[in-house]
Amino acid sequence: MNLHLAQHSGVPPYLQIVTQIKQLIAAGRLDVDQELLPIRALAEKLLVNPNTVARAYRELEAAGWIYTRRGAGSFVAAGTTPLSTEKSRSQIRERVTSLLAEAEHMNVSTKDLINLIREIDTERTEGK
Amino acid sequence: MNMAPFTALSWEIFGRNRSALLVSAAVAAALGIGINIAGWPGKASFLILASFSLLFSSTFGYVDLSPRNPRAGFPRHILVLPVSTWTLALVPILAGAAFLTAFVLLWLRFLMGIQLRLVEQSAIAVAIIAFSCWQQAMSWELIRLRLAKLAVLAVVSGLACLSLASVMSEDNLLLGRIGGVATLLAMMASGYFFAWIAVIRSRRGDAGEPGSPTKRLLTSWASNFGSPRMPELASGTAAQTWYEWRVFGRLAPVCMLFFCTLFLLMHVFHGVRSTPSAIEIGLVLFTFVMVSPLGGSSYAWKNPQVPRAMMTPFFAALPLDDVELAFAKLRMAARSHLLGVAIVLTTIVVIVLISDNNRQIESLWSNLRAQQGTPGASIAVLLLALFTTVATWTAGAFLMARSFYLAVADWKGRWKYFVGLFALLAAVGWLPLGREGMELLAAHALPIALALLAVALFFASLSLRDYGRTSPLAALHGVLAGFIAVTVVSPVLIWQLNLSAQHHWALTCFAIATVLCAMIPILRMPALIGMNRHR
Amino acid sequence: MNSDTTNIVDIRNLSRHFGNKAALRDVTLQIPRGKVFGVVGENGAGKTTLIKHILGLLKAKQGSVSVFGMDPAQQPRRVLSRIGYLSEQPDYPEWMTVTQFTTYMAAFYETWDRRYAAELLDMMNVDPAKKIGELSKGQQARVGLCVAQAHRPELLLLDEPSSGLDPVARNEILSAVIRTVSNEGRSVLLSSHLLDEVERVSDHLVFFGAGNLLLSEPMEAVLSKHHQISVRHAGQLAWQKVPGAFNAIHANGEWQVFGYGEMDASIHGLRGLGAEILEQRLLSLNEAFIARSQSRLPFSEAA
Repeated sequence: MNLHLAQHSGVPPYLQIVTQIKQLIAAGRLDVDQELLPIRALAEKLLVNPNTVARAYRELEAAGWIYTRRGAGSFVAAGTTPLSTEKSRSQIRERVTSLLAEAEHMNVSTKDLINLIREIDTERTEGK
Repeated sequence: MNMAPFTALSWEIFGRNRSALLVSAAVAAALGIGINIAGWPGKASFLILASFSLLFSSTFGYVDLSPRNPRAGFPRHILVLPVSTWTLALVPILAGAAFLTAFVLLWLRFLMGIQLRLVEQSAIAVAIIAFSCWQQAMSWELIRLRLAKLAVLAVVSGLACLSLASVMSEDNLLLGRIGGVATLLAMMASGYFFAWIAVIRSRRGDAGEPGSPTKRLLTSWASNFGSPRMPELASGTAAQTWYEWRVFGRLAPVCMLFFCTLFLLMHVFHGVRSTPSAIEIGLVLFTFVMVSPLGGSSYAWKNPQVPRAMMTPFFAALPLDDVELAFAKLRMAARSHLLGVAIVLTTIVVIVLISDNNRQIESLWSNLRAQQGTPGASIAVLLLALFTTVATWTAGAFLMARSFYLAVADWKGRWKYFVGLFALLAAVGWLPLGREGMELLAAHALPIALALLAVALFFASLSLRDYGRTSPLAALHGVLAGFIAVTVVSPVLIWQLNLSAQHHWALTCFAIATVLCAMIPILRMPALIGMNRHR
Repeated sequence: MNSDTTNIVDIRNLSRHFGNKAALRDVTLQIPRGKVFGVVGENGAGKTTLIKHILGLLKAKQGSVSVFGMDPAQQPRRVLSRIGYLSEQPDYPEWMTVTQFTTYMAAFYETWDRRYAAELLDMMNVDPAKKIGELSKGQQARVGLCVAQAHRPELLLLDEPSSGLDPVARNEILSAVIRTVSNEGRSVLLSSHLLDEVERVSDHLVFFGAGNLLLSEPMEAVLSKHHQISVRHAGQLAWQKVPGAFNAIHANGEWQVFGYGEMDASIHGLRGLGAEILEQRLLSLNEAFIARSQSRLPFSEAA
């Protein structure tokens, strides 16, 4: 599990851990049912309080990304549950809301924004 | 040439201990005048001159003494100033030498009435400068090993005295006039050169670094002696005793070994063998009595110029109770002391064996036998030995307790302590002499009053603001306290009075009582350590 | 190991003066088991004085200090044998070699683990035959850290351990903190100026200012409650009326208001004053510390 914490990113450490684990899972670098590093080991590796790691693991579990077996550790969950889809949607919703606010602040119209999204999406699919 | 750096540096050097210096000089003057009025021989005056000179020269050792850094060197903050190295080296040397030369010449002229020609005065000045150069070079960390430093300084002082004697003698003795002057000048030049190198090395940051081949050679040679295998440390107290022994405990036995070897070596000279062994034994005992408090008194720092025994957070935070810490220190002091006693006893036996003149010892012994019979006499001698051992160790422990007490006492506490000490000295010093003592007092009222004034001034100065910093007063105080402690508990003195005044029981009891009183600070040691540790 | 739930350190109403200066004023603080307490504050704010009280180096003259249920000044051995301490300016005996030093220290602690000590020294890459005086500052700190941990203390006390150290040594210190607190029932008190590090590893933040305990909150709360809101407002802005606001900077008609508490409440308050909200964000510990230090408002009003 190759995680790293960016120091002054403004994003709280636990959230960085959550995001990166999600990305690893999504990219296939963490297989289904693969064991995650124990809380203590990850804390020592990242030099961060174990409670921070514990919180990240709790959030991931609540969102259905991982599951915990008592005494055995935490493992990557298979697929997505309907609950996790809902959670993902609400997170994306938040992101879109702040993106729209920012665009407005910088005088970029919603129409320009949608065009921009399409443009970038095309680039990504072509790049793959 | 820009004089500003000179004046600024000189001002700083004198400013460091201004009041202490003046008071010390006043104390010295009072003592000197008192001796003159009492009509005591010039040798006493010379002795006082010599001791105070040593004191002042050590004060002018321009170093950074901080409790946290037992290794002292050229003051760091000065090194970064835009002043040339040769100035930096020169100013402290000149400052110290100037003060000392003035002190010595004025003393010789006005208190000892010795008229010196200009040549001789200059020779003294040059000798003092030469000594200062070397002394500063040593104190600026040119050599790390303390024994090596002391050895060098001893050699330098010897050479300086020799050259001075050659210059001052009428008959072109020893090195001859010109030889003496040449030696002095050479010493001055070489001393300044080394001082200059010491400052350069301090500036470059590698003063005292284990880099130079000389240093490596010296340290490897030294480590051949002391490469200690660590003993089994079963508990915290054992560990701390080991530590105290390694840091403080070896000093006194090594000093005694040094001096006793010197005494024995002198027997190479035929003349020494024919002097009465009683005198030699007396000298050995006197040296021991002066040195033993050093071992027992655990200054917190290797540098005895720092008067306060401060407990650094490291030692204060060790998981040991105050009692255990006190016990470790006292145990080390006892071990160190016993080793010193063993050395002394061996030396005495050897002296008696190889001396050609044991007449006084023999007559003392037969006197004793006549008084108390052979078994009684043997017991008396054994008791004396035992008593001396215990009493000198008590004096050492007393000094240890004192250093801890003074570290936490406010000025009221310090006054109480000094008044008590003074009263004890007065009681033990004068009372046993009874009426004779009173008559003695009356006959020499003025000098004694002056001496008392000097002592009072001295005590008053201890309330000075800069008492805590390095100060000749602090060193003087150490010496005085040691002297008082030893006098107070010295059974030799009491025994002598015993034999002559024939008040056996009373005085023996008094001696025992004094020793018991002196044990009070030892019993208070855990509390004293506690006061230092938990402020 | 003792696993009851009482606090490791219990300080109540502790005050201390040195001459005229008040180093601590009526400080009350409890450190439970299994937590990392980060203590921050300007120089002279009282952090070291507090730590000295916990170690028993200072007696509690006003108020009480209880460590493991005992007074550290009364029972130094029993308290200190369960504490690992790394002081700000370590003053280890320079003449000892590292091996001698570890052997010497081992004698004091019953719970000393020789293998663990050797492991730690090995990890920290220190030559055990060298004298302590010959080591660099960072290496000395590493030796000290090894000695502080080798007896597996229940409380690790670090007083500005990172001052003047290289990044590798600083990392070692953070590792030590994490390793200690990962074990059940052990706590750490870390006093530091490096707020990034304190932010990362602490569960709980204690903020000292001029001898007063200004803040004692879980780190999450501290990070989520310190915020900065940028507004536009012509002329003077009475930001002091906004609940939780403790500092404000003004330039070219734009105000940056720093507050502690609910961000929405602050926004509401500012809107009420007629300001236009431009931007809002949470502060990092570093920014919060600086904003607080520059605040001219006494803490009681800003609370």
